[in-house]
Amino acid sequence: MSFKMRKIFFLFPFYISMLGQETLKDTIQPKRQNLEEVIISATRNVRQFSSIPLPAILIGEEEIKNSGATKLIEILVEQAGIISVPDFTVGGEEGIQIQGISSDYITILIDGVPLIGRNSGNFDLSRIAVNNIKQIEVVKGPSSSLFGSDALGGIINIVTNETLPNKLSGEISHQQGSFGLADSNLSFAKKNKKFGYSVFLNRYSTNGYDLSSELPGKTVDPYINLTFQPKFLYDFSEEIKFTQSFRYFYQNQNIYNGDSEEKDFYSHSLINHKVSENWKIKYELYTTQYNSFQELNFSDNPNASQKTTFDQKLFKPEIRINYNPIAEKNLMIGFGGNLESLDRNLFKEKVKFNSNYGFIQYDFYPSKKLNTIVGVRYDQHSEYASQLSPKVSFKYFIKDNFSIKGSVGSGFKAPDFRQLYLDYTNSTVGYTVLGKTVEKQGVDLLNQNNQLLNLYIPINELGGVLNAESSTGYNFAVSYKKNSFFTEINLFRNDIKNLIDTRILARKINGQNVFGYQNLNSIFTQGIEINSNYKGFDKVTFSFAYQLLYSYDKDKLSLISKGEVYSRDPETLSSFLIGKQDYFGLPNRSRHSSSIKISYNSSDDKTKINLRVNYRSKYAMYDTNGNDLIDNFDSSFVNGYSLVNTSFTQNLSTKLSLQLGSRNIFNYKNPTNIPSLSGRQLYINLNYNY
Amino acid sequence: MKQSIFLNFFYFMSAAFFIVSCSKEENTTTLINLSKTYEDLYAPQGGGRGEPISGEFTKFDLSTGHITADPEGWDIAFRGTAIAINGGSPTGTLDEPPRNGNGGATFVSGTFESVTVAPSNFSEDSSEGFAIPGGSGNGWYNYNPQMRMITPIPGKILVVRTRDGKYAKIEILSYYRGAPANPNPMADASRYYTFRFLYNPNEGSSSLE
Repeated sequence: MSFKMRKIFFLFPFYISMLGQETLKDTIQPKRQNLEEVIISATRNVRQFSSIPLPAILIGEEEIKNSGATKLIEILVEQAGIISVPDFTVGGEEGIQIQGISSDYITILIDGVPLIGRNSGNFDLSRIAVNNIKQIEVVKGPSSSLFGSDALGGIINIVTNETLPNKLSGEISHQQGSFGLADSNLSFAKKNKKFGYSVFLNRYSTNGYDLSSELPGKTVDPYINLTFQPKFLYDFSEEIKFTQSFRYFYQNQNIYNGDSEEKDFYSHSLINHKVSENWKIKYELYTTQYNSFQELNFSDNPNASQKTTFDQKLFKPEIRINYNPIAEKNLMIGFGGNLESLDRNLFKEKVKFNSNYGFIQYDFYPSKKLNTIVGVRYDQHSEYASQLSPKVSFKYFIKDNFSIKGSVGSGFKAPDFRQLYLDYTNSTVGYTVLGKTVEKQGVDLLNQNNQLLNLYIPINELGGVLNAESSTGYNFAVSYKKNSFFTEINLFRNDIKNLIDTRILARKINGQNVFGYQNLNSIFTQGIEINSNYKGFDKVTFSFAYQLLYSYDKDKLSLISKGEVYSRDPETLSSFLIGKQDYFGLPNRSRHSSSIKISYNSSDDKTKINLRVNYRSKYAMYDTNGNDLIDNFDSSFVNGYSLVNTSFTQNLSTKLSLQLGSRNIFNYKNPTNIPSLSGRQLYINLNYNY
Repeated sequence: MKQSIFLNFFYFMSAAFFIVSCSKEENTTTLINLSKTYEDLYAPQGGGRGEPISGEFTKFDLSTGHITADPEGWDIAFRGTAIAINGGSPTGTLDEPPRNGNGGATFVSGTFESVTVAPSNFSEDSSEGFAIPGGSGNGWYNYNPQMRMITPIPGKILVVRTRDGKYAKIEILSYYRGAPANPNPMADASRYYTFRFLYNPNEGSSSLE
């Protein structure tokens, strides 16, 4: 499998150059179907979705509404090749994976600007309400050539409504469901000749749930959150248009023995300047902040009480220049800066990052059937080595309904503040974690105070540079469309190196370890994605997606082939040598995953029913037999499972609709291994448009 | 652990066969290797949680295959995850047993069966640390911080030079009471060593078969 794929990838440059030289006189322009469907984040320009040379998913407003989703995570995990995974680093303990890469490595954007607030590396996707979303765009594979750091595995862009109605209109909706779910939405918008506005308001609350009553507290504690997103438009002239958006988010959770609060805020200003027919300039100013606060109080042990704070700020100006002489040629040049700061109680002091960047992208048709996009971005950073992130992609229409596309791109994720600046000693257990920049002085200090029993890393090897984690992604897809049938098969491979992990620096006299961060592992993920749909039946649409995934640590593979890895017989507990066939791969990765959707739409469009099934095969959580990798003899495997969601929508009048639905209708639960699964949730949703 | 009875029998039989076949030719007595699985050696510790670790080590005599209170008649000693050797000098940790022997320790990669001869490079305890290093991945175990679980690293066979210069090999099988196949660190009591070992009582013989 891996051999075959490598061969294909090797052919990439050859394909590109071969097709590039071809002169096609009598070819037809790729057929423009579904003119409505456009994608913005793939090129940072409005592009027709069906012609885009990158692996991408588009989720439209109607699909979001029909699914009954309230939070971004709910709608994402139903998409082809995106799977929901238990993730213990975020509050809700649910994360996602794209092509085997977790959401730590995926940039989350609203209207093209990044959201911040990754408390422990991951972004909590339940922070985003979906009711005002026009579409969600997912671009798979490294995208740092446009978006810089964090876009190592891909990006998710949320597009809010841009075209505003001339007459005041809006929507009021309310969803009430099991576990005390109450989700209320209010939105309205209007545009005069020059001035327009839209306002979105969401309130969400839940009582949480408890899967294991014998443990104190609930599995998920009750919480409430509010989202307020106003947007203003002003057209100074036909040529100069101004947009100003704000977002304010507040969440409060009553956690066991304490209280937890999260806030985020942004202001996003954009001026579109049409200098001439061919030249357009976008001036963007983005400023955002994220605060979280947690307080734990123990009445029996007041000394163990603790407060955690996390205050992050980002200021980001950017200018993008587009030169667009003809419809099929677009040159974009952009540059900007990031000024970032983080104040956290686990840091000695407030820390700051500065970075400047520039990027260039050329999107053109070397021949009428061939679209090519080449781009590169350069990031210069105050704390780590500069990054150059190139990307090349192409799409070639062999026939009108038969096309191939491929891309090679690079991505990176900068070391985060925690990995650089953390200086933390656990007060109850007594271990210490040191960020890279404070590693040497931290160990020195412990040594001077006679706190160290022994050093595992020589003192002169401490400190030094932590490199950005970086990836190279390859995608190659074949798409075929006939009548109402569409299918796309994509082969992918992502090579990721310099993954940052903790290592033990020293042992303290209390027996606990001193941990530091280090670039350690090289991994890869590869596989096949199949995505098909059939719209041939009168009222029923059927779609099917499947992903085959292999993901391994390269160093572990080489240790195994050298015959240095042993496992333990689960019965006798004695060691034996293992081979490659026994290595299951990285934790939390399923070999197979699939999603099936069936939807029914009555001919008068008044009744809609859908059924969505999401499956993932077995996976392992962690090593249990001491060899530091997942082999077939480990005992932490979680059996494969399916989640089934369904909803029924009935339009009661042109303005009023009623929806009944169920998430996880078969009530699948696994309290020990998947605490993010609450069990069956029924809901009712009323929606009024005006 | 049923296997161990069978293995003991197997080793006993092969050792017996070895003796019979050798003694006929050489006319010297070869002593029988001691091979067994020791279950649930309890190695408690005090301190921790910000305090220095303390408490008596549980001492083990490889020549008898039993724990011992004899301050001199021991080869290896256990306290929590730390393992001391009766050889070298004090490490500086609290309450460590005095060393009066010529012991040493080293690790050999392989299965218990594949380690057939003792190597020559042994480490001794010293002020630099134990001959058997502590910490996850450094010595005999890996620590999973998420599950708070100690697992012996498979394929790491501990070879020991005893206090009086004999050789033994040890495979640590479990750190939890009853040596459960899937220990639950929340429910199963820890600091209970189950290990199998083979001790060669013959002076000057480095064979571990």
